[in-house]
Amino acid sequence: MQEPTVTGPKGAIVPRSAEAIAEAAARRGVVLPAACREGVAQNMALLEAHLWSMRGYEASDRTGGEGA
Amino acid sequence: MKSALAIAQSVRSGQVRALDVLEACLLDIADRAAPLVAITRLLADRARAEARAVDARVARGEDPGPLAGVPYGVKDLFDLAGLPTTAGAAFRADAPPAARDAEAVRRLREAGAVLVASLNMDEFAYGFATINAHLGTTRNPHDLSRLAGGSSGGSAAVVAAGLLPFALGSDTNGSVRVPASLCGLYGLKPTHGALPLEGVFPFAQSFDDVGPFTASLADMVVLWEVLTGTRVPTRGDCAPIRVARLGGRFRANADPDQLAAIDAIAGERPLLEIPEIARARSAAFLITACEGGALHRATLATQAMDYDPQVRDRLLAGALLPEALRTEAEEFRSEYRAKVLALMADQDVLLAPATPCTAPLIEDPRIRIDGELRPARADLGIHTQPITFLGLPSLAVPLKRPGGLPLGLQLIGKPGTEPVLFAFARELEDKGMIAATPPGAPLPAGTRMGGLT
Repeated sequence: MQEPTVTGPKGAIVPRSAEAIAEAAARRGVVLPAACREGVAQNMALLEAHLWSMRGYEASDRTGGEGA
Repeated sequence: MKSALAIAQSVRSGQVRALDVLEACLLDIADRAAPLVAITRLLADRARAEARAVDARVARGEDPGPLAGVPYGVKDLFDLAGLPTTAGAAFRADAPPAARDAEAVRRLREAGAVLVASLNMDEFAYGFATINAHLGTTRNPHDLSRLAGGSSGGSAAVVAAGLLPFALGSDTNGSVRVPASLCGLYGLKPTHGALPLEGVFPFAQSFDDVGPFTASLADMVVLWEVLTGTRVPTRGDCAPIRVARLGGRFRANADPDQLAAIDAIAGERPLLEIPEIARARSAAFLITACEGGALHRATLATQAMDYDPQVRDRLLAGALLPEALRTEAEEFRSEYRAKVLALMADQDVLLAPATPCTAPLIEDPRIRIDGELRPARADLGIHTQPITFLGLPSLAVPLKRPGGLPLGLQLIGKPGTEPVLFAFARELEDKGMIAATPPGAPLPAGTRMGGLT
């Protein structure tokens, strides 16, 4: 079963499940080495939390994230 | 180390040779720099050539420029003619050499400054801590067991240690203001695009800016003048500067000393609450992820395993985001910016903390945000990122607190009002509220640098 994904008024989705991430990578020609998959999945979760936050949901911005 | 202005005055007047200033600087670096893990390339030959050129101009009776003979360093993402631009990535050490200097470096050279070193950073500027998996973690000169902040941590550390009077960094979401706060320096994030970005390795171009670090306001002003080719006017009898304090999340996550300073500066002034600050930070985060991911997509396809693992996974995730999400974030940004600019229409300067706390320990790099322990590498920019999102100029200034770990405030202005920020900072300096404080304990001497070219 796939993990839930955030959709909003504009319909953009953050790929979250392993299948969805692999599909997004294939679509963009990005190779995901096995060593990166767990880290990428964690970062996708963070990005999804920020998407929630940007859309004004209660997820707050305690999601952190680096962007110096 | 003397200030940039004092060095330039001595060289211009012929009291001292630029080459002598440089040789003393190189000796000091050889003696004290190694524990900081701040310098990645010492450019002694180039520096000597530049210093000799300055001395030759003085000997010919020419004006060698407002920064004559002043040694300085640049973050590892500025193009330097003949050298690869690594952007903090060890695997770019074999990249083709830059054909010419970055425009900011060219302007500094024209003004007589002498480039001495390139400086450590988070790989590709993606972090607030200067924790570089391949080149090492830059240490804070005020306490070597603590972070210097990032991503321009090497630039901040050498200036705070008194090894160089100024350095250039870059600020995308706080990469100048965060290390300036933690190392006790002046650090400028200009109005977006106000300082030249040609020849600077990008990270997220919607937010990237060049930013200087200095130990004095006067040095910051002269750098601004050199880099912009403008003169900062004296304010004379202008109307008083209107100041407001930022409230809400900015006060909820601050050191008590920062709040006390802000209230001492402007306690009678209004508390301004910027709405939806969390939404703004998240939108900035998403835009940064999208732009960073897109920039590195091609390189990641072939060299993913050469990256710092944490940076790599963040960039890969950003590369997978749909374009529609970035568009949504940009639309929000556009509306939000208009709202905030209207809100600050009656103010000249907004006061806010630069970081939520003093420098975290390298051994336990966590900070408390909203009552929870969070990774410092992630959340040190909590107060700078929303300002970046708005494209506003922000000058980080060091609170005067001898004996304590450094802490900074942000003086935030409307677009294009850097001279107002300088004028207000001058007022604070005159009142004795802000000043760079040298590190209390000298750096361990005798650990001479080796292996640098």
